[in-house]
Amino acid sequence: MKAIRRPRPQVWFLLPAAALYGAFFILPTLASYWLALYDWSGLGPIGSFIGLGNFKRVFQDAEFRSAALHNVWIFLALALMTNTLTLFLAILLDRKSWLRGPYRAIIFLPYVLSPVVTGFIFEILLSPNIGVVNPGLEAVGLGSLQHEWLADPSTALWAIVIALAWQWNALATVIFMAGLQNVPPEMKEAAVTDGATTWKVFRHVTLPYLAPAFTVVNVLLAIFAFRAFDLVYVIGGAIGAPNGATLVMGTVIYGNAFGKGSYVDTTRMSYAMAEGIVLFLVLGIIAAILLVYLARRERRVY
Amino acid sequence: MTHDPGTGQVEPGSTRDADGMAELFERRLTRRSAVRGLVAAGAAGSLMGAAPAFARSTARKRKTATTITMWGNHPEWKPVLDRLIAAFEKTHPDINVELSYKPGPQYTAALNTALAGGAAPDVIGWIEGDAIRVGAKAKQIDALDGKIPVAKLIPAARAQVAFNGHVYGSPLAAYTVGIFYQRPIFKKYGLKPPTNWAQLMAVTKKLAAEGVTPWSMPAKDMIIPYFFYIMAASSILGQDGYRGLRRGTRKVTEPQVLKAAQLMIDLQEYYNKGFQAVSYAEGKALFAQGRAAMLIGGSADYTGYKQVNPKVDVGVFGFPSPSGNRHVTVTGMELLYTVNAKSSHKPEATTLVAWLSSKGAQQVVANELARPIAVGAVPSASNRVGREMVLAGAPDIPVWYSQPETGGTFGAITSAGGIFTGDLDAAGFAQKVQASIKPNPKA
Repeated sequence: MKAIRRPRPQVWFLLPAAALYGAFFILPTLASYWLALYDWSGLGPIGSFIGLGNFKRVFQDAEFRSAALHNVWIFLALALMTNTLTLFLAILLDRKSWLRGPYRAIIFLPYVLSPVVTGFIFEILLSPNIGVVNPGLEAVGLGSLQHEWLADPSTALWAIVIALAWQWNALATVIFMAGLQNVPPEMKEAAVTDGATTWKVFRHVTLPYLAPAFTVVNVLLAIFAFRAFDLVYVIGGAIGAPNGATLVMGTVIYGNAFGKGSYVDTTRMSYAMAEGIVLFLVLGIIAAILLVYLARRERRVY
Repeated sequence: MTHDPGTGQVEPGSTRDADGMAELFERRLTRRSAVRGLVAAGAAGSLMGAAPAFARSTARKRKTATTITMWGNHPEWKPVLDRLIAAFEKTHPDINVELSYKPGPQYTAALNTALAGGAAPDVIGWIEGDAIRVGAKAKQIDALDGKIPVAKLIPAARAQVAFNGHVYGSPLAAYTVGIFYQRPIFKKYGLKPPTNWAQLMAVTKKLAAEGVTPWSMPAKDMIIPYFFYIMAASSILGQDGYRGLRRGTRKVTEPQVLKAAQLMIDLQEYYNKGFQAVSYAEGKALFAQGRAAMLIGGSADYTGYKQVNPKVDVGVFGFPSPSGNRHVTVTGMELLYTVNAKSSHKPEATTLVAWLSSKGAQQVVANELARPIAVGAVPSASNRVGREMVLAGAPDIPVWYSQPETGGTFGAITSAGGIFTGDLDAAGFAQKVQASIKPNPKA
């Protein structure tokens, strides 16, 4: 006779969390996939079934494509900064110094701040009316560099990139610093004893040991850049001022789902859900590519 | 144990605990201290006896007064609306109103989110236009037939809340949009409100030459540019022309009407610095502080200017037409209040909505807030700006987004910031606007 298998005790402990996760995340997510196949404003009865019509429109939507391109620029700019400047900063902070503690705290502070607060800080700094950046430039004799940073379509997105970089840099630095802790000092010492220069020690000893940190940082960065919303929304507003120059996928999706922050808004909830699913797929693909590439690199290193 | 001389309490860990306890027991009970003790005990007993009665009375009041929720979209109106609600609660002691605010630009998104999540207030306020009709169709609000004195509402208000054979609510107020100007600045440079576009340009140039920022034109959310454009275009079209636009016999792409978009472009160099990154709220603050001389604004905005600068001294005029044969303003409704179909306090919510259009409530609106929606309520003599606004409002054209045919113009214009970045010229801008208009020959 076959013995009745009882669930292991840990299954019972997991059940409440799993039920909550299922009820408040899995089910609504699945529901959004279903609703994306309809024409529904988000208010009132669900409209007609239109199949993949919303998805087709997403790919034809110039505004969404332009916003997606802005996300790509944000990702590329932050990736460049993270893998160079942030890494350099982490190496500097890894050195033994009595200032290391305060510096670490200062560097990490932006990550503790809410993105909304960060957005307001940068908006105020760069404001054409009450900002301090332009008067500051004037005060130090660089008046010719004064600019309407957030009003000029050619600089507004880059002002947002700087704000995002300020915040992102904090987490990336901490991850790199954790990675640097894993570099065995005896390996460095052996390399130095063998006559390796500082650069060679870094290139052939430190950098390979940082491979897992690079994987984590770059995958998290992809998620950070493509999911950017709150900070961008505060600075550029729902219509991505000026003239859509600061729209990202997150703000477009929010605008379609809940309105663009104006008096009279027509919402397109089903369409926004389709956009959200596209964003999810894009993000999944990018994260998967990065993971595969960086994991392969990790294996080569070890 | 340590001994706190102030309280006489003994804390653990003190080495003096034995002494302290001995001292406590050695205290002698005198007659005076006994009397004091009795009085104190009596007082405490009375209080204890009174407490349940007090609690019962408060609970009874709480039990009988029903609290209903309501949202507003003008936080700057809070002092006046608090008085208005207090007046309502005074005459309706069994109803408490919890009024909270969602600022204008975020209002629709907040309401839509609340409706989707089943968390909308008992009294739902809709932005004029299609939203209330969509809400009625979706049965999110109840019909209030026979409960709202619609006959006492001005026709424009009635048109927004009475449709499909039913009455759904009442607006709190109406608003007229005109051009606000700083009177001290105009006086200082000997300027008068312009009556045609040539004068408008001359006034603008004169102010700029004097080092004054002529226009506050916050364009981050494109709300003020929207009103600027529809007023400029309305000043060309007039009432008949606007009707033609709705019916499809006129178009904003006509060469004559293109001038409205061109005017907005021509004035661009006279707008406040970095105007494309300045929000509506910040633009209003700039004007109220006297850092710009003119701003497109509604009658409802005046309260906000006063809040930013209590000494603000402004006047208002209608938008001049190109040739100067008329001034034009556009008029719309503030939130259209209705009763949430899911409310568990429908009778109380209905009472409040009906009361909003009463003469008493509307007189407060006329005197302190905006344009009244009840027939017969006029701003008091002390409300100069309110009176100027009423005078400026002739001829009056509906705000374009309030009409079904031109409702789409708001979305079209707010997404046409290219007019300020050089990506759109006047013709391209007008084409975008025209594409959003859905003419109806029967309009």
